[in-house]
Amino acid sequence: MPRAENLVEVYNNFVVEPLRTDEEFRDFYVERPKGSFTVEEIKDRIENSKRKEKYLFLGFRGSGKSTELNRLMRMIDKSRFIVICYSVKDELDVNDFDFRDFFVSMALKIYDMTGKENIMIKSDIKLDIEDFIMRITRIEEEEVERQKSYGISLSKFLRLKIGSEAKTREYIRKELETRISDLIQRLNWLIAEVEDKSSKKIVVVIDDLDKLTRGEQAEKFFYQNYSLLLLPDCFVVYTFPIPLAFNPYYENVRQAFDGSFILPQPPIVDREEKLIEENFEFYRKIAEKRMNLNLIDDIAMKEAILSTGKLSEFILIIREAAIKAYRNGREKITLDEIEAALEKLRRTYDRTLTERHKRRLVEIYEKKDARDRDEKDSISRDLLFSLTAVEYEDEDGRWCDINPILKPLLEKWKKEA
Amino acid sequence: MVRYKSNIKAPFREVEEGSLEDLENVDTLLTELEVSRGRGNIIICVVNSPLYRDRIIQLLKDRFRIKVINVREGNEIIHILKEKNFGETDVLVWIMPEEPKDDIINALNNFRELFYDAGIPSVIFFNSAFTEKVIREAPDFWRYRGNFYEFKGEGELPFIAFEYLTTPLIYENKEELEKRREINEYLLDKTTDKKFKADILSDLGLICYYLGELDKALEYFTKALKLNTELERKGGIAQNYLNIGNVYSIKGELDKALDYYNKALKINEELGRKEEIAGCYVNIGNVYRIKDKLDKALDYYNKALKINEELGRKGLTATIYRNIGVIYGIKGELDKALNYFLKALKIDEKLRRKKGVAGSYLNIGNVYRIKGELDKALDYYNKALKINEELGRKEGIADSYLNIGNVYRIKGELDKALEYLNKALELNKELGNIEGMGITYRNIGNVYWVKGKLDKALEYLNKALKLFDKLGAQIELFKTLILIDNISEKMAKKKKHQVKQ
Repeated sequence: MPRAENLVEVYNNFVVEPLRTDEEFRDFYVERPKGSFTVEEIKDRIENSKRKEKYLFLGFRGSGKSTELNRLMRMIDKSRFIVICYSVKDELDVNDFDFRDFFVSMALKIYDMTGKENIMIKSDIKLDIEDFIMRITRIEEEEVERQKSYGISLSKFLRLKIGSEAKTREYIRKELETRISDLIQRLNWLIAEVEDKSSKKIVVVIDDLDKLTRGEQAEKFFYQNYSLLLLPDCFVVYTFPIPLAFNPYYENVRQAFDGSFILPQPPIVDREEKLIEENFEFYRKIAEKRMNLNLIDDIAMKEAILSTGKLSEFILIIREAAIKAYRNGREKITLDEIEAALEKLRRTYDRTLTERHKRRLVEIYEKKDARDRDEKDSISRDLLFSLTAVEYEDEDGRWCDINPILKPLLEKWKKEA
Repeated sequence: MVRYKSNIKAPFREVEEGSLEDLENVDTLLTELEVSRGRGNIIICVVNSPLYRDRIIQLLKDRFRIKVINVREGNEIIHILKEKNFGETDVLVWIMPEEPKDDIINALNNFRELFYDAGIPSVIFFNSAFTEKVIREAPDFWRYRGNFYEFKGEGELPFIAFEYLTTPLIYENKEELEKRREINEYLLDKTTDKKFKADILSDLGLICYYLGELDKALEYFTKALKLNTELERKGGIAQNYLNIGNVYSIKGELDKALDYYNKALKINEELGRKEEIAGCYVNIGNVYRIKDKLDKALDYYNKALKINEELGRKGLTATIYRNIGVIYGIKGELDKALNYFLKALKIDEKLRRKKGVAGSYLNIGNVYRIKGELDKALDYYNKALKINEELGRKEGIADSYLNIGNVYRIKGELDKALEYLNKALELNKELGNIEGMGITYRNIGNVYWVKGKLDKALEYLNKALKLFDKLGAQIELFKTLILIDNISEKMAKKKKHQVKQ
């Protein structure tokens, strides 16, 4: 991924996607500001813990969570650990999600890995888990054989069915209504066998569980059934929907896990609106890795950082400004293009927010705190969900603010109120 | 060096008549697609008019090999992107439905990476209502997008909303209004009764308001207010506040308008005058509509509707329905808008409020025109024309001619278009409506341009230019200038080509 040397390359290098490949990490990754949490901490705990710990991993949209999970996966010592990292979105229907489907898919993922890693597990265990899953999904042997002849493995076929067929999910849920412990027992047999045969420990990293924020499903999964999440006998990192962390139940859940880690967003200014040089530099370095800084005026860069203060938005603004500047025949991005991109986004947010949202945002800005008033009130949660409000962390603890892009609108909102 | 300047080609006429911002947006969109060839990308285009949208898509088609997908459900998006069966396609064009359904919003939010994995850029079209839902409920998708464009479409807001007037005047023509003015001015001079004087001043203010003489209207209303305040006539004071608010609203001084509407509201609340309270809500809603705060406007309209339904005042209910329809029209929820316009129409027909009926026909015609159902649009514009003719409302007739002419222009029936536009021009001249004349000149110029008669096009556009200059209508002036500039450039090229030959 060469550093951009012209505006078209800037446009193509500034994409909001998690870093995945070696090349992307080598060329684009920037160490997060000192003092804030990094995934090295999870790595150290996994590599040194005697217990098979379970962790919650939280982070706001656009804070770089998936990139950090990808990093974690690459850092863990592969001679001692088997890392299975997957996204629930690829395995299950996130619009119709249930903890029972979740455990079936986890078992299948581990089962699948034995084939990929050539781990010869005991045939009794293999057959037992196959039978069990076929029974609860009501899939016939013939159907499995037919799929095999097309080159589709049992686990892949089952995962496809669970992910796409409501009927299969219905069977699973019914069958496991009172027998979830049967499934977890089999899951743990499988884990024990794999660890024994490979002489490695299993680490499961599950991404995108935080996407279950729609409806009640996330609350059901994490609040009602959290004790089940502690039962798999391996290391597990669960991504946790951050809006749920603003709920009083969170404290119970958090304490049950071995660790909960929040990936903070580095704020550009502190609670007193004073610039935090180190964090400003973090954003500038991200840009520097992706583009030759001669392609943007210093003042334009400063404005882009100060007005976004959020990784994904910063990247989007530079991307949009780059294409504008290119079309205008400029050789570099100027303040004009940055301001135009910021203003467009600001206008769109302003139009989308209701009066109640705006009043709450003014409150969040003034109090540096975002809390819902009672269980019925979800305005602050909605604002954090849509990223119009953001949460930060410093040595005095967590604090909230409004998205920096909206700050120029504050005076207007106050008048309107 | 300016790259991709003037990407707009002759067939894409509608965008040229749209805002300047649209022209720039189309250029940037094409550039963006050009530089993201062979890569996944999400480019969002917010456009409320399906007709306008289709023209943008046509432009994309001229330039790229595109595949257009009309999305009905979320699974379809996932399926298409996972299959990756794109063949020779350069760009995927997704058209989202008018109503933002949950399964589609979920699919966009949860599978946004698939758009990048597709290996070719996606341009996704949806309306303003859909955008709001995306920002609120699909923030991951919103965050993953590349650029987003908001196309305004044809410059002026095509829908007609009505304001609430304290004592609406019924009149046949301008002459009648002038006559009433004369009588009132005469009486004002004669009477010594302060109460009567205040009423005459209010009446004169309304007449000037109808005639578009806003400063005079304001002067009369202010004088009336002073007298009513002296006399402690609270009802009169509230009326004057509301009317002053109306003047400021038209003048575009919206905060002042709001201020006066709220003063009127407060007094009406004290007096418990429910109909007037509802009227204040309607006008406050109108201000928020103009301010582009559509949800707030809708809140006020609904508040007014609730009171009005209790009172059973059907006339105002029709106005509220019409205004709610306008909100949905602006948001691009055209079926909902249509539904409200039809409801308003039904009441107005029942009450035989012909002006209201004509207004509804025009709004319904606009919905169909935006949807691209041009014959239906014509049908409704003709119905509006007929009623306006019955009423002798020259302004309404001229508007109808203009709309009909424009539909024929879009249909490519240019001679018919000219016939109607010329009729509109004659009437606007009779009425002395300078803005109407300017807009009609520009539209005629446009037709000549499409016909390839560039000299004539320039002649009309220059006439429009002079009028807009006289009026100080900067935006219209600028829009016209851009057209003149483009035609002049084209003529210069043509001449150069001829010389070479």
